[in-house]
Amino acid sequence: MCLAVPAKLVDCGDGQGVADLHGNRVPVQTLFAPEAVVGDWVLVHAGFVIKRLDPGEAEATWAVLGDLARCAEGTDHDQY
Amino acid sequence: MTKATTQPSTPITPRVHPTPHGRVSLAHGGGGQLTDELIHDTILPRLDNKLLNDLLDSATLPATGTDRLAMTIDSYVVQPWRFPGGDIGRLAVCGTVNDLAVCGGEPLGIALSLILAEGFEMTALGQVLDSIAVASIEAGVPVVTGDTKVVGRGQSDGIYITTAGIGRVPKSRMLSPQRVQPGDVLIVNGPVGEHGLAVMLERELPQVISVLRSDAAPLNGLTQALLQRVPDVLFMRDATRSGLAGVACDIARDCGWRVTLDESCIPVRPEAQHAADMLGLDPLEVANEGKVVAVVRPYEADAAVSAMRQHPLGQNAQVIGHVGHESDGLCELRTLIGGRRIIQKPYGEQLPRIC
Amino acid sequence: MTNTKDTTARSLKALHETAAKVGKPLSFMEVCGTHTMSVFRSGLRSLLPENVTLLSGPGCPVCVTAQSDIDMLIELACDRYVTICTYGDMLRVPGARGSLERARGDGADVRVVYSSMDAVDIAQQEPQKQIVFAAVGFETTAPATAAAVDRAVKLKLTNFAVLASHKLVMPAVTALLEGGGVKVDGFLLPGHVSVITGWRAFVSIPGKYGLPCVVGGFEDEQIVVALADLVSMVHKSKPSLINQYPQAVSEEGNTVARALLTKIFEPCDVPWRGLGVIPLSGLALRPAYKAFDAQRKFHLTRPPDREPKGCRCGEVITGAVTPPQCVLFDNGCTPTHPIGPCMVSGEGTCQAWFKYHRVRVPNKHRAHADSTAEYEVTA
Repeated sequence: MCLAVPAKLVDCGDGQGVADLHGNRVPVQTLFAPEAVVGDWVLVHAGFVIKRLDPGEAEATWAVLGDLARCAEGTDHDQY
Repeated sequence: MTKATTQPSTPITPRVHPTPHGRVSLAHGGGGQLTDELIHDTILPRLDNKLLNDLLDSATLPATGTDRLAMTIDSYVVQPWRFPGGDIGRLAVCGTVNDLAVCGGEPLGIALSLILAEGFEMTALGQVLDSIAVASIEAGVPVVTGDTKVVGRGQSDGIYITTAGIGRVPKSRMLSPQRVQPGDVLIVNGPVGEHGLAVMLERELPQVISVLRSDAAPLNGLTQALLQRVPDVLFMRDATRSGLAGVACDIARDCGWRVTLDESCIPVRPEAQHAADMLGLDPLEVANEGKVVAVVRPYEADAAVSAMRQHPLGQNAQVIGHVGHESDGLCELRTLIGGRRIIQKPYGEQLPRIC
Repeated sequence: MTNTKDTTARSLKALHETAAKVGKPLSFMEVCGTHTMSVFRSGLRSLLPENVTLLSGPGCPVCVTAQSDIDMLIELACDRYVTICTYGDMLRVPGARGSLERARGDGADVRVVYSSMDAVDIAQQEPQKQIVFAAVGFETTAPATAAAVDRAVKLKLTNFAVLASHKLVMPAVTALLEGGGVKVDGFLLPGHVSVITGWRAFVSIPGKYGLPCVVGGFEDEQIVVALADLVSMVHKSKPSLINQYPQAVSEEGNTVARALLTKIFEPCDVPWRGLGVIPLSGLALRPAYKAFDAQRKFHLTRPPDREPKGCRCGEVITGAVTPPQCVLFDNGCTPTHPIGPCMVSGEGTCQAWFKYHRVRVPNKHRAHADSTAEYEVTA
């Protein structure tokens, strides 16, 4: 049902911001998480930050996401 | 003056075929099951012949001397025409070169047809042609003939390109899914899903700034290197519109044996996985333009992987699956947690999913 | 990597051991389409103990959107001054007169957006157009619609409206339980809905109905852990609510988002596809915001809901039948030509079954033969 992905807030202010994960930078609305600041892990759904994640807990989520790199670990972008 | 004797005495009337219903939808061009339906129900019955019916990436024409000729054609209508990592020009060269390359051919030349909309920016056209030139040099395949048409504003959307290509295939080379047998292994030359995701991000989420790049690249150098090292490659196909899933399903269906892919071995870059998660898509089902799946005998797998890895476009080559003994023609995924599930060819146009 | 794999393996082992101790058949319902998808995609079904079954509840917003909602959107789309903005999910859902995708093929202006705010931006940039946002989704997505309406008020936009088909999860679960037709031994609760509602919204399920509940995340490992907890609670006969997604879910939920939701919307009775009208299970714009109600603005009357003949989506989403028990499944109703909504959405129960569990026997000579076979999963 509700797709939501964790990402790191790299810019925010005035109810809007930018979240980044693995180099994908998405503009987000932050009005539902006014306490979130740059550097926080957040959960993003349909362009909205719906939750500021607890830093310790977020690393756990991140670890799970890191698994998705599968065999691509150690790859680089130089081949382009 | 003599009357032509080949003239038939009665006029040729086309065979009557059922009238197709409804309208063409975008999904008919998605390269998935709906495209298959269009080809099988509407096109093939009318143009029926042995070479076309095989539906290979290139048709191989009868031999002239020691070689046969491979011939292919493809149209490019990608929106937007420019995307991270490439544009429609690069795509048009790579796509056609790759269709020849995966048939074991050495591409000889490309024919280029441009359909431009009135009002399309000349600077943009210049960029597209520059990309065509660069890709053509990269591939080592010249554009040898061409055509340009302009249509009225509103009739077309910017720029469409059609490229046809001809290549030389040694008579001895027989690449066919029918040669695939239980025990054979599937190899891919690098991480999957990047072209489709890069284009979809650019089109559906232009506000997203991503490091993701289209992987569009000419694969003829890679496939030649592979064939030099492992002359008896059984089959190759570039994993374009319906992605790795589409190719694996086609191979399973055409060889009649079960194909099992190992999820833990399929290379996917984290940024591609994350973009796919954001859009609700599966990287396995998304288009590539620089990825080839090769099937080889198990004892040649190591040689094939190492041949690919020595090429710049194959540094992350991996064995991703094998052909099993079940004769059901299915494609199956062994998942990260050790589960099993079916892989099916995607249905058509991929849509982002959110809520 | 090995860590996660080990945890998953350990939890699977625990799940198998406890399930063996319970012995009797157990069925749990997941009320979230993304859970349905994850379970199928990860091949988890092939790893479950024999006596544990997962049922997919009404957790896919597209699947529960009433046909009349689609019909109204298509009627609007036919107006050449109207632009429909929709999440990609909704594009292929069939109404009585085709889908939004077909309307677009016929020339209607239908655009896919990622965020409700994109629709507001379009309204601002194209004042000559009337923009209607097809607002679907559960509690996770509804606040985004509220934020869009709030923004439209601030921008004094007169060319923006929403057709609200939002749904609330708990009233539907309550209706299922009160109806008595659904026999389940516990619920895997929707993780992202709970981010907004807080886990407290679901405490009455163990409290009043005596059924165990686990709020679960969406990674393979998190789902396995949640299932192991459910079986363990059944085994101990101690039904309660466990939060296995504490990274994201708190007791209170997101109060800021809920406050905005309550400011703009109020609960109302709405029809669910296949389930009929469920009291207070939807959201209507409050009187102060009625100017943004597309149904009112364009004088739309809700057409009658007629389910496609033979379609059992209603029973599928309540877990009463599995997709292959529907006569239309793979027999006229396929992902390429869906009849019921559960076959449309990538996370619909029928499509998930079709795609990951049940397969066509490939037949080169008749590429689209109707012959089907159950995919045998051997452990």
